[in-house]
Amino acid sequence: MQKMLPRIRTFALIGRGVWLALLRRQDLYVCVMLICIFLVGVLVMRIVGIDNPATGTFLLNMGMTFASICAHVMALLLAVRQFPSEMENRTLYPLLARPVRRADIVLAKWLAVAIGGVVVYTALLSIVWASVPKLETYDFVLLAQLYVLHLFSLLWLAGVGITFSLIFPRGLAVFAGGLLYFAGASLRRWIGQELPIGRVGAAYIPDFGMLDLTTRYTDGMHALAGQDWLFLVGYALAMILCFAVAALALFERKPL
Amino acid sequence: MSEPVISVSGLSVSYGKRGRAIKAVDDISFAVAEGECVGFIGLNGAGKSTTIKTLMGFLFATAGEARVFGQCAGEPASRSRIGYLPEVALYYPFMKARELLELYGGLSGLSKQELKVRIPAVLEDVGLGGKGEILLKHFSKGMQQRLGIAQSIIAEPELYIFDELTSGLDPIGRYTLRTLLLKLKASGKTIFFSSHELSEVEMLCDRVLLIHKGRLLRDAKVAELQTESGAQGLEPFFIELIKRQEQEAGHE
Repeated sequence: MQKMLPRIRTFALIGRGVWLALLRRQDLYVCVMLICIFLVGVLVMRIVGIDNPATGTFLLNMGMTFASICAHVMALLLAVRQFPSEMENRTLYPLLARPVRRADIVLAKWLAVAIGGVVVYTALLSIVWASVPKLETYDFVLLAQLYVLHLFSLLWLAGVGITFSLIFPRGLAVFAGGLLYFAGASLRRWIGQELPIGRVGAAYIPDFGMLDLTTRYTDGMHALAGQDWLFLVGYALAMILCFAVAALALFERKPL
Repeated sequence: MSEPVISVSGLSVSYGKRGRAIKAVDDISFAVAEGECVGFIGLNGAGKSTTIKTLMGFLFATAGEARVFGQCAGEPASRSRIGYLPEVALYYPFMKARELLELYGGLSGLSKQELKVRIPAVLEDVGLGGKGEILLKHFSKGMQQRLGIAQSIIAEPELYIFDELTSGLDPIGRYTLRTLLLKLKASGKTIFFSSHELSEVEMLCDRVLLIHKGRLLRDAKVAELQTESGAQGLEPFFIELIKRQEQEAGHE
């Protein structure tokens, strides 16, 4: 008789599949090409010589924003692809035929996508941070706060992608996830001002921008006060929880 | 008498929303005992795959119940004892055959050491010996089907459920598979499979279930059916049975 697996091994095995997809498909290479272009630009600037601190700040901001967007877009695309392509190719059946709970499949894929995003973000951020000449002083605590918030942000966006992919067709799920990520703040403002549901209703629109401290960091500002940072962590956790509950409920009783 | 491995009673499964729901399986009941090899046959759209998917817990019964190893169909504990081959499946094109079997075997509870021994052995069994390091995007349909069989047998379960057993296989593939099934049968494993190939069913099975338009038309031992059908063989016999059923339904 076959054994029931410890959860951690289930997660590792399913996660490995997600990471192999990430490594052996083309999305990652697009990121590598873009970062190479950025590095060539930085190299040229270094050869020409950067005298103005603002130029260094601009390069750092551009590079860190690129690292953030790249990791988020990749996490979203990877998340949205998980269940629809498994259903289209029917690869989900042999997976579901194993002694694994449906909830564990959702959580394993979600975590794997988020970890993939975190690895990409960490690598890109390190490359950018190490390559750009820093002519001003920057707050290391703020950098740490920024990094941790990015981990939550990636986990959240992976959840958005997986949840939307269980409701909408793949293209629409990418569009809706992208809209929330890129324009969540604008959407929130517009709804708050223009629609009858007002500010209370708008508060339910996810705003990823709240978790991005890149510009604050590159502007040379100080770290957030403890309670302000914890508020942002709490906000991210609440959003992650909402999407986790939605994704698990959607997949649990889905006829396949 | 021991509890049946598969027990289906009054099972109905519908697709679509209420009011416009289509009944794919309509009040069927049967049981499969331990060590039996049962063929599940019927025309396209008869309800074979729907029944099998319900046994695996991919679809949910709208009425009645399906139990496997005494547990509700789809429970992880019952799935841990099943080897399942889906009707049509493409496997992850970005994986190698070995990696795919590591995934499925690992999820079925095999340790790394066991996988090291089992993977080359099952690949050899299904005629894919030495192909473990090839990416699946380079596999033909027949090779994917063989790999599908490999993933279903890797953990040596007690019950095998195959949906469309030989679809996509060439004659040599069919022969390899038949040999493998006979070996499983001889070792006392329970096998339940759907197929369009009646000669195969006749050769391998102890019992046959015939389903038509979601209803079970016949549940009989192969030997009984062979006596009943006489010289004409099973295929014309079943076609006649289905035609007769259609006529009766028409009169009603």
